[in-house]
Amino acid sequence: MKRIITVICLAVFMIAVSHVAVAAEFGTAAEAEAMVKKAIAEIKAAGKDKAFAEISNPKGKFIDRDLYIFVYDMTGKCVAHGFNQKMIGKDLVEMKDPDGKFYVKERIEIVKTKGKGWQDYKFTNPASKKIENKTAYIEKVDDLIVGCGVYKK
Amino acid sequence: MKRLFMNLKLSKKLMIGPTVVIAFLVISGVVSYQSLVNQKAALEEIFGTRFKIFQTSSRLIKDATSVHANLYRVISWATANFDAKKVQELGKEQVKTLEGAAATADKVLKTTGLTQEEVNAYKTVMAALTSYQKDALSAIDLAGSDVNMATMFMQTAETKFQTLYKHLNDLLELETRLGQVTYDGSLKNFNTSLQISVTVLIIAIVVSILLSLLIARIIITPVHKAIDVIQKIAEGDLTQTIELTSNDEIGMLCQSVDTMRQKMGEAVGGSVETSQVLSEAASEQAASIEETSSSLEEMASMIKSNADSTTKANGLMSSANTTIEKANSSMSQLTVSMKEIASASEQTQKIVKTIDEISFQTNLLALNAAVEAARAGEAGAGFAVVAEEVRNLALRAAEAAKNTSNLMGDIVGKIQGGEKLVNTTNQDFVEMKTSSSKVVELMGSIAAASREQSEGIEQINKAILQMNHVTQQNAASAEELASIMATFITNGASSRKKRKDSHGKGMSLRREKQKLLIAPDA
Repeated sequence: MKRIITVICLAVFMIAVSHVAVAAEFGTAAEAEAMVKKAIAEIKAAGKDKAFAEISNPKGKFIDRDLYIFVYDMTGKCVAHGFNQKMIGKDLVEMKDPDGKFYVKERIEIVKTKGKGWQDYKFTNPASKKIENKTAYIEKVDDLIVGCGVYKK
Repeated sequence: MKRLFMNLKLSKKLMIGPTVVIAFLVISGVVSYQSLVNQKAALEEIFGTRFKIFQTSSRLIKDATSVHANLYRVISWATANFDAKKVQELGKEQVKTLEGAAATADKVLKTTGLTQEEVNAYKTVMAALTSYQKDALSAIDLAGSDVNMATMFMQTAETKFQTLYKHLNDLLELETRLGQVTYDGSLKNFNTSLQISVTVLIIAIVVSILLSLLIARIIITPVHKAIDVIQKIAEGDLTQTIELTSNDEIGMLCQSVDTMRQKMGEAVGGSVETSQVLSEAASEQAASIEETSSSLEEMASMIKSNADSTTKANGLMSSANTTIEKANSSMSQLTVSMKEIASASEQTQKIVKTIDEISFQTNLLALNAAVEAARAGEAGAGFAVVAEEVRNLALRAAEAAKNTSNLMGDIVGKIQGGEKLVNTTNQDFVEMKTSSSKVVELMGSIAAASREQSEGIEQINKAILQMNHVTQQNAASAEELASIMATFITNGASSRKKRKDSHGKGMSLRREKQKLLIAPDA
């Protein structure tokens, strides 16, 4: 019974969200990469604390439509998050996306081996609040991983 | 060892049996106590540790399961856009439950008496719980902001829950196993203790019975020996020695009995000799007293005859006295006669004197006649012869007168002497009379004394008779005593010698003993 209600609720919720998403504009991959570079510059310029605060500020300059910056350390701990402040401080190395992919581990692996790159996974779109296919640009700065993703339609 | 045991005091000997039994009881008690302690420990372990941990683990499973289910509720509620406050509250409840679970687990870890295995298992559970808690908290935290993220978190949380669940189940199994092991061990321990207790009990019973018998034998044997010897002593045989085998009270008793026997032997030996000597002496005494008695009787009769003689002598003396008186008067008459004789003699002398004067005158006349005849010559010759004859005659007459006078003088002298003698005799008779009177008196007193003596002797005789009687009794008693003493056999040679003599008498020993016992009181 509860499950049925939950399913109905979820269905209603998803329909509502899709209507909102249609109206929004989405950032591109280039914009995402640019924002990463900008965030790196900010980290280098203003220092970690200030930059992280700015990055995590929902009304800050690192929020642009569905684009936001996320920063992880090399252990998989989230240190700054533009979309969800609750993520900050959480150890997410074990996180799996809805497909069961260890995307945090993969992210660490990518920057460890290449220093920067793109990765695909599924994550909530802050605009639609739905899980969508995401492609994120990630780059290593010192012991930090700075990234920003776009949602593929 | 046996020596040492034999030398123990009777009380200690008697204590050996109970001591051994007590020792066994103590062993049994210790074993039982140990077993009970073990049982208690096992019970405590099973209930206090295993069951508690089991309980805790079950509660943890329950809590984790409940939290896990509730997490899904949180997420579904968030997804359905339930009141955020309500969702938060549900989330907070889960956080609290998880914290409680963690605290419980931590408390269990801190309890003592856990095995390393348990500690390890608990640490694993704790780690899993902490890990799960982190994800659960994250999920709850994110449920409000990003339900998708929370759901994603639930994926890892699910895995961790499974791990936790598995570890908790493992822990339950471990506790069950450990409980079983403890139970089995306790059961085994109990069975072992039971076996030991029963074995110790059986050994205790057997050993105590054997020990009691042994101790009884050890105690009784010397007692029997002592009884035998005492019986022998009772039968009068004082030559039996007791061999000392132990140093305890019975040993001491035996020693005392032996000492008593020796002393009694010496005493009885001496007594036997003494009683014989006494018996002989008593017999001799009796004989002597009899002799004395007969002597006394003789003496009494002698004294009696003496008294009679004295009485007779007294009579005789009285008659002598009269005789003396008679003699005295005769003597007085004799004196008178003598005086008469003396005066007659004097008259005779006078006559003689007269004759002498006549003869003188005659002589003168003859002379004158001769002168006248001579003148007358021849005529006168014849006459002259006559005158001569006359003269001779006158001379002869004068001579005869002279002789007679002399004779008379002699007679007078002799009479006078006789008179003196008579006087003296008379006096003597008077003295004799006084003496004889005194003698009579003395004789009287002698007679009286003799009578008294006789009476005294009679009394003495009576006493002697009594003495004789007593002595006879003494002698009889001494003889009896000697014969009684002779029934004892001692190491003294004399008593043995006597034994044969007395053996024939064979009086009832009991009676004699009674006599022996009674004798000092009587």
